[in-house]
Amino acid sequence: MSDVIIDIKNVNVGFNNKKVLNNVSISIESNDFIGIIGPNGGGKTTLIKTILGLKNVWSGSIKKYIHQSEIGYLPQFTPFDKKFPIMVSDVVLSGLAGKKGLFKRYNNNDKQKAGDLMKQAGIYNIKDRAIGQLSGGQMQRVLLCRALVNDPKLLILDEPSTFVDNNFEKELFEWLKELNKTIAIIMVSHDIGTISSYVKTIACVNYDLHYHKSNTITNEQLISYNCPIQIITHGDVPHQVLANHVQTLK
Amino acid sequence: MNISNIFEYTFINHAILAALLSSIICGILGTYIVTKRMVFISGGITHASFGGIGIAFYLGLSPFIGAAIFAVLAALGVKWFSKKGDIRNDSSIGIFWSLGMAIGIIFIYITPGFTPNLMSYLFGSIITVSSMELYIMALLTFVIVLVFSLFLRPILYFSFDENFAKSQNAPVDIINYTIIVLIALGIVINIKVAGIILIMSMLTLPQNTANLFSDNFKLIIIYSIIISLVGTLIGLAGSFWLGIPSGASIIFTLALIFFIAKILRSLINKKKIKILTK
Repeated sequence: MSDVIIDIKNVNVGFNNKKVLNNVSISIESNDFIGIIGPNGGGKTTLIKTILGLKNVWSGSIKKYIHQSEIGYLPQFTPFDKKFPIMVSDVVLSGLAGKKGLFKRYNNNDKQKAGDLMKQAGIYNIKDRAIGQLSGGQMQRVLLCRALVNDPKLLILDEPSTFVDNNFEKELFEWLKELNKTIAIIMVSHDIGTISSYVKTIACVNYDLHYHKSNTITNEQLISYNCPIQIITHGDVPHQVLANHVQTLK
Repeated sequence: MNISNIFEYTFINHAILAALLSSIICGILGTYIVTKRMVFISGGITHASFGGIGIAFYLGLSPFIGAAIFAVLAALGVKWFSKKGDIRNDSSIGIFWSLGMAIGIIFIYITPGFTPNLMSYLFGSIITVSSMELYIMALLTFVIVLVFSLFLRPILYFSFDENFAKSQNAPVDIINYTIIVLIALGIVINIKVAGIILIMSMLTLPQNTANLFSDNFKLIIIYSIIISLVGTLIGLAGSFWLGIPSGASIIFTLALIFFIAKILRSLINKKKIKILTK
């Protein structure tokens, strides 16, 4: 049983006079795990910001059947202001900013929940540290905990494995697989080789959106979707890379 | 005896009370300004308010009200311009900054037969603070303390990552606009104490001194207030002994405290490294 949680129909989005997304339609269901791929500047992040309501659409409709604060969001990694005086545990709790608004208190349950997540991500020992003292990988774990603390029904991750060490990348993807049993996940990545064994479907975004309802995709299909991305090869047969990759894993 | 009699006892009492209130106002607002990297926009608001002072002189109104209106308009104007995206944020700050100063000078120049003590607006004059101004300062201090203690978490969380907070549908704009108005009013009321030119130091030096010893938003506020109060009182005393203008003396003291703290901090760090490497 899967319900549609977000329904995007014929959406056009742009900056100033330049259209970035053309007539995009996609339905996100409650048990989806969608990998979004596409070239840089193709509109991947714009699509995510549109779903989050951070970017206004020119035309088309976005229907949300879940509340905005039930979406967990891990933004693309940007060098954060290392001088900003905030502790790790506070960054995690700030994931509740939407649910709490201005007047609701942050109670012990919230702190317990944040603590459990930090333990799971292996950052509980640095919970009282200022963010200025963290490495890129540690910060990414903190931001993942922030995205999960509000018990989201949809988790959106924009390039989550940037700056993350290989060990944690594997842990991260296993964690996401586990989460996907109960919530929907959308993940932007340019490393299609790595994500294709975890995602269920693939959306190719390059001005247009082509929704590919399978986790294996061939170069020919990518070309027909007008989605020129670099495939990281794992096999001897370059144009069958992903199908091949999945098989070798099994 | 009425409590206001104590306040009116001598100008020194006024000055000490003004120092306390302005330390609280600047300690809180300055921590927000410094951590959110809004020092330049605060400079713009401060200078733009001079336009309001000039017009108020021309119309025979209270310079405080003129400055307050201009400061709030400049604060909202800069925010509006940068949000609409047709003018770069720092450019619109520069425009408001210089236009406000120009308007102020023009109106003061065409005001017939009246030359106000411009120096006291440019460099401050804590010893001429009136009891009316003290009441306004006290009221504003109360509002600022109330807002920051009730909404400390939202303020901190929204400041850290505004886009993320917006993605959660958190009420980011109402907090932003409330605080920018408080900053505008806080700056205007402190013009009397530190002056337009020197007020930026009140909003940056104590906070950066405090930040040398703490990475905690709340503690930076508390340390800033203490540093600011100590610096203001020492600066005030210095201005009496040496017969120099109080505003400049206060800022010089705050800068001195900052540099001493900076040297102290690097000595402590060196000692720590020595212990760690042993």
